[in-house]
Amino acid sequence: MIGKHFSEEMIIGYLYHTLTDARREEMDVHLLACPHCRNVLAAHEAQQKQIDLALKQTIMNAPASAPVSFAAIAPQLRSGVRLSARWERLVNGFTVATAVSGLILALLSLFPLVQLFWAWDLHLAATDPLPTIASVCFGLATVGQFERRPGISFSHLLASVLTLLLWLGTAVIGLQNILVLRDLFMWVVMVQGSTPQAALRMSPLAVLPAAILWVIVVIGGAEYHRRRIGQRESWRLLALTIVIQLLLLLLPRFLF
Amino acid sequence: MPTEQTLIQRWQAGDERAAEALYQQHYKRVFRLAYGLLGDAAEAEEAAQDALTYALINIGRYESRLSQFSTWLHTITVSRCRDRQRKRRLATFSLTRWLGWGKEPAAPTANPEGRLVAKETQNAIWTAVQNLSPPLREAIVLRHWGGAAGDGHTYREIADIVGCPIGTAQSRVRLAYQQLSQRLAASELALLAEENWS
Repeated sequence: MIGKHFSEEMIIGYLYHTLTDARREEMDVHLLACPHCRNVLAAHEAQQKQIDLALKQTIMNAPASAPVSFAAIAPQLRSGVRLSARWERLVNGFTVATAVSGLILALLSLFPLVQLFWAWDLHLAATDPLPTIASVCFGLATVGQFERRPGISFSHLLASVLTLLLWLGTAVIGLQNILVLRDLFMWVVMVQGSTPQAALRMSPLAVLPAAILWVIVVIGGAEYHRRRIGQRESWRLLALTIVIQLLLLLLPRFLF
Repeated sequence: MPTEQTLIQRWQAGDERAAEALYQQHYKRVFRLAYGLLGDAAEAEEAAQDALTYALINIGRYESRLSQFSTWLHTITVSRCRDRQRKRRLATFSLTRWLGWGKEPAAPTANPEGRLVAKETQNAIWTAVQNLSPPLREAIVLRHWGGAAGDGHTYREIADIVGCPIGTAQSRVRLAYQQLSQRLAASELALLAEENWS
């Protein structure tokens, strides 16, 4: 409220039913006792009715010529249905296959991870191509999903499977990213003049925050994607995650 | 008269007559929605054509448990309109617009002066709507028109059609109305100033 009255934004929210029930009830009570707010609401109601009428009248009287007859588009429908089904199977198959390949590569890259965590050879992480290739596969699977919508371009089931594969894959690559961050930290420390052993002893300073961030991103990401399966925001976040992970994986190749 | 669900199932099974019936049933509505979003009759016709053709070709992807057919169709229509807006070049010349919208809309009042004022207000509102950014225009047009009962869509439907969370759909409608309100107030002031000068 501004002073004794509700703001214009609140009144518009009341008019367009965007307020919570509690807020709406609060306004109902206030409106009974406040002629100023009632007048403001009445003015907006009148304007809303004007807009409503103008839109409906203009749209209903839109100058349309006769639509193209169905016979003219029937051939396109027949060939389109056949092509569409074939194309859809191809695209969906490629997308899922790429995501599955990426996930397999990412899981395979985990095997030497345990050894790498105890090693201080900086070149080991930089030369392992599996995580990078896996990230590229995930990127390929994500590209082209932005304009696809569940129910229009592919089924919810497919969107769910793809999202799960990509989320799992990025979670696994995230473990590789923790290793890369550790190596970057050690490299910076050694450039300052420390020995590799000293840098290795200090590496938990990088590993611990990175691991905590990884847990937050994985759990938070799971919830975010679960609520927005197949929506543009979910693909966008996956794409951003993959790009950041890929850049982190490529960075050591330029520095070390 | 078969129901819409029956027609959809028959077309999914390959009956072309069902596709034709769906096409005839929905063309006008899809055209009007496209007109509301694009503001140009010629482009709206093409967008409606594209949307219906695409929907009928991809009828296999429609899942009735997820949404009504009209909502699914409107989602495709909005998507097609967005494609057109992206391709639209500033230099495009619209004969329809130059000729002044074609058919004159019916006036809501009886007296001649009242008819002129109402027509000017209607045109001012329409111009203001077309000058909104595409996301706000989509939100306000869908909120006021295109729903099942002849009124607008619910916020849930708007969110599904444009592909955003419900809160975002509500914010866009509110913001669109606020901007319309400000522009209309400004154009009324301009009109008053014009009358004072003449």
